[in-house]
Amino acid sequence: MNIMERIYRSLFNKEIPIKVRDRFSIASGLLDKTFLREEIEEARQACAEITDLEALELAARYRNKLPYLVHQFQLMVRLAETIPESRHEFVNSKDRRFTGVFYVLLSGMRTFIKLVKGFFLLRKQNV
Amino acid sequence: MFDVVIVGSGASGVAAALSLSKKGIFPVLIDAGLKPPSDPPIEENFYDYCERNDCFSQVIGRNYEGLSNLERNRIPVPAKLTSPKIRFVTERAAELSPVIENNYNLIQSFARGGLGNAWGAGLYKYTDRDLEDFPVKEKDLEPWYKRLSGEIGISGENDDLTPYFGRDDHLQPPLRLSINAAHLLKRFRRKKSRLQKKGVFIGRPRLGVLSEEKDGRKPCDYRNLEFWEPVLSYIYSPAMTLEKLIRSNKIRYLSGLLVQRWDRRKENIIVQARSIDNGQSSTFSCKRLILAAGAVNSARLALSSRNDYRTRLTLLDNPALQFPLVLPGRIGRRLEREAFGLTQLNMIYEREADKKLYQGSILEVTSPSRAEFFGSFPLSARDNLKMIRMMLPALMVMQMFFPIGRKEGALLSLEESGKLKIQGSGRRVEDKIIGEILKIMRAIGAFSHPFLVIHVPEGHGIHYAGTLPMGKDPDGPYMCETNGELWGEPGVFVVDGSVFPVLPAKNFSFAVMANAMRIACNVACSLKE
Ligand SMILES: Cc1cc2nc3c(=O)[nH]c(=O)nc-3n(C[C@H](O)[C@H](O)[C@H](O)COP(=O)(O)OP(=O)(O)OC[C@H]3O[C@@H](n4cnc5c(N)ncnc54)[C@H](O)[C@@H]3O)c2cc1C
Repeated sequence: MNIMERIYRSLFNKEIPIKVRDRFSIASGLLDKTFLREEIEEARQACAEITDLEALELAARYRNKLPYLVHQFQLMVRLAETIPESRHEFVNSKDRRFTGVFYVLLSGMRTFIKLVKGFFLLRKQNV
Repeated sequence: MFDVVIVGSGASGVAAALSLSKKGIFPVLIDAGLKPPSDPPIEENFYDYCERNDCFSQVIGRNYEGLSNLERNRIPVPAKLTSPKIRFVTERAAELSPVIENNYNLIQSFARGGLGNAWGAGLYKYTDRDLEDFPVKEKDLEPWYKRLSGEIGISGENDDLTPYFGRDDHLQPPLRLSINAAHLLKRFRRKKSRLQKKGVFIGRPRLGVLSEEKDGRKPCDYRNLEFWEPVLSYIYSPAMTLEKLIRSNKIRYLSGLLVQRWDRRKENIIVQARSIDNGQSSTFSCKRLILAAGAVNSARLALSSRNDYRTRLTLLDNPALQFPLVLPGRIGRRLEREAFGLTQLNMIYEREADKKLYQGSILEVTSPSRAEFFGSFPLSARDNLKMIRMMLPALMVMQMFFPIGRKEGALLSLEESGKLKIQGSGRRVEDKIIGEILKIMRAIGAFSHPFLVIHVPEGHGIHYAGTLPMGKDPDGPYMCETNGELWGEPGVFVVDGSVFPVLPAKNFSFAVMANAMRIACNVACSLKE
């Protein structure tokens, strides 16, 4: 799996749709120009060695590191939203009060664990 | 030889043209005039549309232009200005008016109708209290407020905010409130007397947004299209008045031209322009010249016409903060798909400590792309997605504007290279004020945290003013008389925000338009004399 496929999977836990993949490649090509070559290389290298990209991205975001990786996650979310199959990931179309509150609490805890893991991974990578 | 030439078709330019045409004078309006793309509009609710269709070209754009805020090291512009069909509003600005910005973030428009194509249409009268440092009073603007209201169609209510917004007996009924906004208003009304003692007032905004049909324009139909369509019949934009004036032959509209300077030949004013497509020059001779190119570009014209590369002019813009507000009771609820995606409520905070008035617009966030909020949550990527789904139905944003005086402004000058230089003032709203506002919001059931409050970058208040201020006794080449005439430049008048000596916290365009009509009416009278 390449980085793009792995980012999509870590966000949505499924295979990247072809449309999103194609658009991501084009968009990435356009936006990569605004990054330094070293920034791109550094992110690629980190991704090659680490499996949990979600933890890595989170810690990088908090530490202002690996800007290219953080950006690639944002780009993926922007592109994924535009296809009808993904809309339910973004829009809550039913009242789910208790699930909602539960998710918020759970997400906080999950993020905390990911953050600790991410910091450890960043250290391991020497980033 | 023309009687009157107006530069610029934004809110101020069309208001001046309207006023002149009412007096039987039909001006020439010269404008860069970039147009919106001619893509077909979305005809249904935005959410229904996106569920049934691939909305890539509407949201991102065929050339991926909607992703410009993701460029590295870019200060993001308001999301609406990146929307594929709306981005024409700020297109080619860097090329047509190059600017060196130091700690400043200018947003300029060279569009037909100017920045008003993208505005939120919050249209507020400046009352005598706002006009304290102006050489004009509310009574001087009142007749023009009335005429403008008739032209635009303003919805709102005479409520707790009337002492600040002024009474208006011709308002259309206010728009339907979103569920979130209705909650906040209810909470405020329950605690009204206590909050009002602390100087807090909440009520309905005055919007150039129709709740009832007017002159063939349909009322708001709550489809959340505000971020995606440049022309919505219910949101007034200056381009509407422009089209009407062109259709009825009340103005001669020359687009595709960038005015560069003016000179004088005896009594006449010679306006020099070049084509924005092929650079070809043209000149226009007129008796009166009206500058309505926006406070920055009118200042540019004044400086370049005098070959002045030394003077530094004051440039004002309202400092602003954005407060994300969470209504806990709405977490996990169904997203409100049938809403008006802009200002729902206004808050006025009359602060005891400094006796100043601050104004907040509480906005519904149902219109922007959901993914736009992805980076706003502090959680992991997958958890942020959950937040988008569960938390966004409970989210509103308050954009709070602060007044600004002349000493706090940025500085603008012209370089010999033709570039403008803007030096930001580096001012920042005090943390103490943020704390006070958060406390007020908590009292009405909306929660946030200082860590989440966004300091809007200097220049992104998008209320540019103060470069050529009017005063009772102007005494310098970059000041205007009360009638808008530029000092030492007979026949040259300024009608945009440039002439405002200070900026109160209110969105200023309605006052700018009324003042432009007042000045243009004087121009018409002077011509007839
Ligand atoms: C997202 C957004 C939301 C906003 N919301 C509100 C709101 O709710 N309420 C409010 O009051 N204000 C709001 N504003 C601000 C408001 O839109 C502007 O302040 C107002 O429209 C400015 O009008 P103007 O006539 O001064 O200039 P502009 O709108 O900047 O127009 C300038 C015009 O001059 C022309 N021009 C410039 N230079 C030249 C030249 N050299 N030669 C030829 N033509 C030239 C341009 O083509 C353009 O037509 C908002 C703005 C934005 C972007």
